Amino acid sequence: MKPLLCIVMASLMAMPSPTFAASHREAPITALDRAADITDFFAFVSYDDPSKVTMILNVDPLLEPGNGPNYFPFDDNILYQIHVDNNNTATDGVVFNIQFTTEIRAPQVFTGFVGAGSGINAPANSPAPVSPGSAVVPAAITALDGAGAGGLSLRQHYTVSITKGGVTTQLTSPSGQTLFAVPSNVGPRTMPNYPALAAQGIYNLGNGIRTFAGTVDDPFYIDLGAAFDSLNFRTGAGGGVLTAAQDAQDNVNFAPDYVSGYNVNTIAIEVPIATLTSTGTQPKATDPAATLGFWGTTSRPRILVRRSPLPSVPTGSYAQVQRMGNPLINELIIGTGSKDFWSISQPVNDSQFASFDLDPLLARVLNAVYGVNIPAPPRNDLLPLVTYAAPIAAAGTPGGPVADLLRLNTAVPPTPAGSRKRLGVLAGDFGGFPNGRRVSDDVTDIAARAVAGVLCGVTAPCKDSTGATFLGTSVALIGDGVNTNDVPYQETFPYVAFAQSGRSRRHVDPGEASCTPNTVVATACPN
Amino acid sequence: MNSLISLRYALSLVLLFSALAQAATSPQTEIDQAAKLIRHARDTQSTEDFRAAGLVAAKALATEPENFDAQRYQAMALLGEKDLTAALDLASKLNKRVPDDIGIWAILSEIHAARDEYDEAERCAQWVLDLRRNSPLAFSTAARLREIYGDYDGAAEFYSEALNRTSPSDAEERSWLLVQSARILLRTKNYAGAAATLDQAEKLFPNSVQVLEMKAELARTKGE
Repeated sequence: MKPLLCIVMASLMAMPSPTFAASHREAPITALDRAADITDFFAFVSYDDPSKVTMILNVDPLLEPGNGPNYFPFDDNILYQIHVDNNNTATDGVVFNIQFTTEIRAPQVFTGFVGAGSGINAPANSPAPVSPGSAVVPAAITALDGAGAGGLSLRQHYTVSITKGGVTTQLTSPSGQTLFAVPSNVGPRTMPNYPALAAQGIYNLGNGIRTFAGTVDDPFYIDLGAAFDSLNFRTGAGGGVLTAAQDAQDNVNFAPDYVSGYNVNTIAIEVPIATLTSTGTQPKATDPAATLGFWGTTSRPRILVRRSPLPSVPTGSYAQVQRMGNPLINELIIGTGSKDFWSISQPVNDSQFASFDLDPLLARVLNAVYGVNIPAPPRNDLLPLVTYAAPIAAAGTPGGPVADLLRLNTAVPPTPAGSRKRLGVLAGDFGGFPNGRRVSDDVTDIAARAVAGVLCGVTAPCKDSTGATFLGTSVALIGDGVNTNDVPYQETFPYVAFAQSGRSRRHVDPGEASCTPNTVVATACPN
Repeated sequence: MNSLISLRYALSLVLLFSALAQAATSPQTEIDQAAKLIRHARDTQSTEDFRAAGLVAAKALATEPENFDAQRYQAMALLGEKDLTAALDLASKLNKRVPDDIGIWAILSEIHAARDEYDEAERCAQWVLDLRRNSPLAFSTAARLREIYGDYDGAAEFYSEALNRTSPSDAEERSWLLVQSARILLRTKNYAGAAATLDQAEKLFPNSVQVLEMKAELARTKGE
């Protein structure tokens, strides 16, 4: 037979190019797979127990709370993982593996969740064959299992395992409980005491480990509309550069939080620090072993070029769809044509992306749009964000390879609520980003300022375009004017607020009387 | 997604401005023409036709030297002309520039296969599958390698998957995939199946050189 060339051209011509068309990026990998889209990743010392770390993996963005009938199940085909590097190699020291299973308990019912009061029976005028008095609507949902769970038609349970030293162990509740995911908050008739229902989803897995999975309020906050309108930030919020007074208000918004009123799916795990460290102890802050690197991933079963010799035997292989360590690397640093490649690559190989770190595009956009002075490349001031280095890691800690990990010095005690700063380390609060990341940290403002050079002179010396010394203290108070979440976070595990109600959720819009609904400070929300 | 949506605006903004600036001198007409010529050359498997496609892509590059699509067609043309060294050089550069582009990974896989570098061909094909697991291109690229490896059932499975994911409105492409399936059937001595599949392909794209050649091959094999 004639040798065939250019087989691939066939398909290539036929397909709309998924990653590159008309010279602009159309479809990043997670835009095609929102269930696997990691929205945020957090790791911090538990506020109420400094001997533990809480890790939170959020997926599936901008969930409208009223969007029934199926709401927002996790995907049974995705392997959700939280990875911990405990020896400065940017590789797995400890891994938590989470997988879900969905059950449809009442397949004839048109919605995933239904219930009211003590149940509603068919009335006297009910046509046959449903006889009067027979149950039509089950009792309100007050439990995840057993009595009070009759209305949970769509229910998910999950497993958590830990891989350490190459050995995988299932983590199970000492009481043998099945781990149920907490459903979305449908509304007060169906779920009359949602906080109590959601709290049932906190499980003790023994050895000081706790877990929670389900739909929750999205803890992230940003003026998304202004941001995407070509950096058209609100005049009332300084047009992208906050006043000192605005910057100091950690609990007041000066612009609308576009994520307000939306939910997200979360997986939270709280673990004793000693379970994660290479020493098996809780090291002091000055001990190199105290600083760990964290990242989350989503993966799907892999389709292989080569079939297994035994087709009936699954290979067990998974292909990574997305990863996240720091909240800024992929979005802020990595070039558009490399984002998917970055997403499915391993952090240990991130040196191949190091060139992006040295001249971040966003810095140049800030320079162009606002005219602010920025450091000249190479931006070595940003490298400590992708290596183990001071001020997060102790002196003597091996830097390790360039890798996007969320690094946390686990011996830095949690900052009490009253002293917590949204700007984290930039504001002298070492319990927050970039020493790990708490749910309340304002990573948008922190990251924008870091890219603009706020770390210059602290992490590395910088020069400006004229060759003069550039100091981070000269960086403007860049910010979107959204300084806090629309609903209060919890001070105990799982720390995120439980899901917003589908019936009464509220999105804060421009022009409202107050941008901060849950505060006594009524700052007008500018248009 | 959330975690720095604010950064995506910046990137999209820059790209938008860039695209607008280029619109006035867009080489899109030449690029579209190169695409059509590549398809034609794929069907005829003629070195001359591939060369013609490459020349049109070069015209586009004269207007816009860094145009990615034009360079991609140029790499395809070089592959079709069997200038494997030049094709590999260009495709590797494009891969380094835009590692997200599955088309370039697929072209690299084919170039390496043509150079008998099968491990590398498989590595590149696996990237296509990992980046876009359900795309027709992923399945057809992997099918090609399965065929080379002698896994005809596996190749047939993947060509079928590619066909199922190809737009019904793209008759030429569907016809091409049916020809690939027919070749597998021919290799496995399923002559009736191959004939029926080629009939389907011909109905979809009556003027296909590949269909006619495969029909002739089938007749020869059957001793007609």
